[in-house]
Amino acid sequence: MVITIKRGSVPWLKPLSVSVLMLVLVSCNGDLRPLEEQIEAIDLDVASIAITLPPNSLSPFFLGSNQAVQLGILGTTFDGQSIALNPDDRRWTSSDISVVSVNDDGVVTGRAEGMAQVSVSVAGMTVMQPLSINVSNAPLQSIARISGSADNTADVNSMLDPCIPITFAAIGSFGGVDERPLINVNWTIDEASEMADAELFTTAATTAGAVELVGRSPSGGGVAGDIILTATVPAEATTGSAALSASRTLSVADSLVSFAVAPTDVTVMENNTTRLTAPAGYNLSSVEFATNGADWEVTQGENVASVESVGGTPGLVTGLDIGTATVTARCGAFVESTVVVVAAGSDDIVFNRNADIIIFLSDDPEFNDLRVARGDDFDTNNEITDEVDFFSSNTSVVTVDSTGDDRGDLTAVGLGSATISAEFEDARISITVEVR
Amino acid sequence: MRALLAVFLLSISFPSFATDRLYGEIHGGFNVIQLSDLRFLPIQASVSFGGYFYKTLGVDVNLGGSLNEDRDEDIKLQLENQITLSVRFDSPPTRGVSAFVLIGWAQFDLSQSGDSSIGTTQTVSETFRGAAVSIGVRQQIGSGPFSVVGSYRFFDVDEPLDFDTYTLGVRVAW
Repeated sequence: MVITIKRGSVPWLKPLSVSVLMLVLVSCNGDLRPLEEQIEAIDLDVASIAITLPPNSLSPFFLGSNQAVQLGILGTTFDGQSIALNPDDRRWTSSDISVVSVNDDGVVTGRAEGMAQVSVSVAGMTVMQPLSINVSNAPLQSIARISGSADNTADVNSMLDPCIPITFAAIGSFGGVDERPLINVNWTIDEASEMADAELFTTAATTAGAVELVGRSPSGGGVAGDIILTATVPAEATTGSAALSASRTLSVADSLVSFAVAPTDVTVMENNTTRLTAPAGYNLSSVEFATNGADWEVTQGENVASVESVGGTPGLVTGLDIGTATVTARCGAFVESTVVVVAAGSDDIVFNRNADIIIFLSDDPEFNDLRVARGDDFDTNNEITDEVDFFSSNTSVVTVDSTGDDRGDLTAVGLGSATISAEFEDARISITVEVR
Repeated sequence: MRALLAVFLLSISFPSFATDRLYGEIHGGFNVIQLSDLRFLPIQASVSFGGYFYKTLGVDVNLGGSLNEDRDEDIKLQLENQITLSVRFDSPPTRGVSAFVLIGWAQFDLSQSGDSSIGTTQTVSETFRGAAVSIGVRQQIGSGPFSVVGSYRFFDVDEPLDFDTYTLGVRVAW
């Protein structure tokens, strides 16, 4: 059969239009997630998974209607290690979505009174024990207690070690039926004793409604300082007309016996960061890190470096400008400092050689040339050798031309090693040259 | 449903075929499949059947799969099977050489297996559907019915999956 085409018509227009239409109509589907999860599971060597609840959660686990909570996933490796998996974009399921709904990111929401089981699967592995969630519409009656992350059922510990943050949550009693952590809570502290110094803060990781409390060391002498932690639920968040509140008395122990900042000499590149730590010794325990509870500040050279304290990433130093700064950490009466040198970012300029250089006395300098370029990797398109000043730390071992066409050429003078530096504007890089 | 509608539109747009313009092809090559940080290059084999309904305009059906599993780190991946329905646009031949573009719909199954540290193996298979576009060149061999075909094809399945195929094949026309 042969198609008859009218003169002047455009025969390819119709199929082309249909082809384009096909592409528009084509339904893309398929889920890459199971394949990606398997790669993740093999990479992490995960043998099984379990659902984790937010910190301070209680068992049995209750939700209010329309209350949403983020669940987590904990993986166990074949050698028994625990590893937190990202709960986002997983296959979460609820046994009864009219009672508890769950989205792909593991956020469960109470829908109606009742009980439902939530499960999740990762890379074909399903949790051995689904999480039972009870939904209750019972009204909030009172704040049953203030619960701390250091508490356990056998011993409610009201003694705080200085500079070790503890998470506290207010546990509400709902209709005498269930207890669960409260979300809408205002927190205050009263330093009841002059011996106490405490600070409340939250971080991105703090569960909604909870608060971090860090006590700082009293002035010493073996005396603990008391503070009163108070949780208040505003009236509009209760079914009654009055606000609810509860308090807990805590003591900041005089338990800190040693405090330091590590490392003692720090170099950080401009616009880069490094993390300082604060190892601390406590009289009833081994050395712990007081990094997250210490009060960090730059005491000299504020324009050279900055440091984050509680509420951020404590001890995280950022190089702002080339120079020297002093970073100080305090924990009560304990004060320690370290000097931070901010150097030009090594990513500003780079040598054409990335390892120590070995040259020989007999070498022709033409064959031992150092070249410099802008950027992280040497690229002749960004070469600036002609604009760089070169220096040798020991000219009796090796010299480097810093002028003319031979700029960067290395000449072996004597046996030994020397450091060759290159400077361009504020950037400085160095490399070791050994002469044999 | 949308795929069925697309096939329907495709069928009514090609009222008839010239019976001497049908062809069959056999191809060999390799797939380049990249997902996460891993890259797999399984060997590909496929066959195509098609025909031209007007000069250099036609339709093409391609069936294939990979001949082996390719491994990257502890993960092995294989293209279990693949079918592509396309509309083809060929350029007029010059000295026996013509270029072509195929635009169509594809479905394929990927099978991935991984070995754990204790030696257990788990396999996951998923089906993907989406668009496929091929570009290539065909060289007529003498005045006979045979020609050599080289092509590159990429698949778009609306997922962060890079899937390309490079093939070389032989066509016989009748």
